[in-house]
Amino acid sequence: VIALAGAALAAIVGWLAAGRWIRGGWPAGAALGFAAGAGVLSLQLLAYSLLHLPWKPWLVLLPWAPLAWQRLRQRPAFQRPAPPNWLEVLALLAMLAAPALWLPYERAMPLTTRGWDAWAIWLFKAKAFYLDGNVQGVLARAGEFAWQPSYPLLVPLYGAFLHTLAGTASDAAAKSLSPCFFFALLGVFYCLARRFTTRPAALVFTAMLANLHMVNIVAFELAGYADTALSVYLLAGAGFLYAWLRDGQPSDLALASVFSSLAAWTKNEGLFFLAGVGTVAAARLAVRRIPDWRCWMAVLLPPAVTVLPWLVLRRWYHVPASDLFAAGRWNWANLVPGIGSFAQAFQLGRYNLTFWLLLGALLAARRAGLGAPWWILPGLAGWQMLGLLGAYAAGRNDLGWWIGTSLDRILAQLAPLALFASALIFGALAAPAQTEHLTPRRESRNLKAKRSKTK
Amino acid sequence: VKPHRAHLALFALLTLWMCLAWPHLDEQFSTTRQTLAALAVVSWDERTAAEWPAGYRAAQAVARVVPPSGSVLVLAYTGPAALNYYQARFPYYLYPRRLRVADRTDAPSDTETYLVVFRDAPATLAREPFRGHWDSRQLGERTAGRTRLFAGDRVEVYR
Repeated sequence: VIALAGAALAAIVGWLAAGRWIRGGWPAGAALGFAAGAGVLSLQLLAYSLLHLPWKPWLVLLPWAPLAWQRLRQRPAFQRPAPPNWLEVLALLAMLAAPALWLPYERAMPLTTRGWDAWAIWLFKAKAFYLDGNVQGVLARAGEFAWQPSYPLLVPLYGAFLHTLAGTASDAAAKSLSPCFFFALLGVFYCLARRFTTRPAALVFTAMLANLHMVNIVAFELAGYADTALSVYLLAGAGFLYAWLRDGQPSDLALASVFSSLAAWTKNEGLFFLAGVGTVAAARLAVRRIPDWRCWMAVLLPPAVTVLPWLVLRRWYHVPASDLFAAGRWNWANLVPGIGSFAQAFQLGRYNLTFWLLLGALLAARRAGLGAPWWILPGLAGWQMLGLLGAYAAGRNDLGWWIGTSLDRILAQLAPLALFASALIFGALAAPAQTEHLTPRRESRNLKAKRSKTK
Repeated sequence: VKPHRAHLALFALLTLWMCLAWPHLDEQFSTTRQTLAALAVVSWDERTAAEWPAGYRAAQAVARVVPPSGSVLVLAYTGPAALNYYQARFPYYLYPRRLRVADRTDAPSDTETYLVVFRDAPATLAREPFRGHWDSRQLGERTAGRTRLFAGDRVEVYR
């Protein structure tokens, strides 16, 4: 009940905060709203903590009441979707298979020995923040625990919000955040895929994501980890960046920047991702000489709100950084086994056909005619892998141990993005007639044809 | 590609995907069924205790008798990997108490008001033997002047 209430409140808060930029029906509103809302609530708790305000649920939700009242007065228009065809029904049924098996298991299991990072890092902080009623108490004792004090705080603070909602430190409520982010991942994937391809293709690829073994493991077996949340933000950040590069809508740029910043507020890998997204956006704005100050604000404001306060707070409390590149012991020999370890991505048992499809999509991209913006999707996945290689080369940890304990989760973070890139290509190849209006190059061809006819 | 052919292509892809996913789904079906049979009938507390019997019961005992402002030194008779595990997991259950875990009876206690003596389960010690320093006489001397607040199978708490 607490998990559902927390997810619903996060979705409402996120929808109130970012709803003006979100297009699509209720799945988009719920999934993107939850993803944005979890981030907004975590930042709100951080602000309350710094302002010495108590973490009472009503006090956290109070600032959103006027906005909610205003939105409720404007009745949201819901479009009745067209009835599903046989393939869509099949895809919807397939989408339920893995979650129906995994969710009761996750709800029954306590925190286990296998979920080290959950209780040693993410949920430990969530519990400690809740018990203290602020973040300063734990940060002041940063050197005392076997945790990663410099890791960002979205997941711990959202976990603390769930404890606050429960009125007690509840492991079951806190670890529910991973399944909630898993369902948000499916929603975000479907909404983004639906925007650029046909409904059957979007549903089929969403069903495939729902049954991706390693993504299931990270969301349900390793509930309490931050990886599922990160994969939502990576997918949304990359997806909306692609949308902006393709369509040029400032609202898409704003969402790309918001979700990339929330990725950086979730895990340190997200900082690298934010740097990639920010560089691409700033380069495009500069090269195209787009003078719109709103676009620049959309690029600069979300990182300033999410990342900067945490960096300042870390320095203020002398929290030792876990910056991988600060080790200063570069070991380039690590690159060879590091690159070799990426072959794990092609294991059918763990990632099914995800990365094989991505290879196929890379080969078929030209034929699908999605144009240059599509390349940003595999490009950002490659950028993340490059960051991982850099971390391997920095030689901070024993390479074998590191690959063994984290590579599968890092690939699981990237799998939704890889599958999304493939969905666009194979969706366009499978149904070019239906995706004509969705692909820019074909749209221009059609316009040309129409113009020549009218002439 | 005609629409029905596009649907067939997508159907083939989904079928192939589900065939490859099937062994994991099948395995998870059994795991979930067994887990629900074993755990769904017991409380959350008992589930955690079943998963980590010795450590969780010890943490519960300490939480009962040591106030949140307390400072605790845990002398743990356990192997090195288990010690590393307890150093991370005891704080999860005992925060905000200040906590230090050591596998040596001569571990200095500068600020700790409470002393906890924890002996790991024989099964855990059989998997990984104790490699620290454990002197029963020294332990007796350390606990002699203290009040025993709790005594259980594997854990004793002194003030």
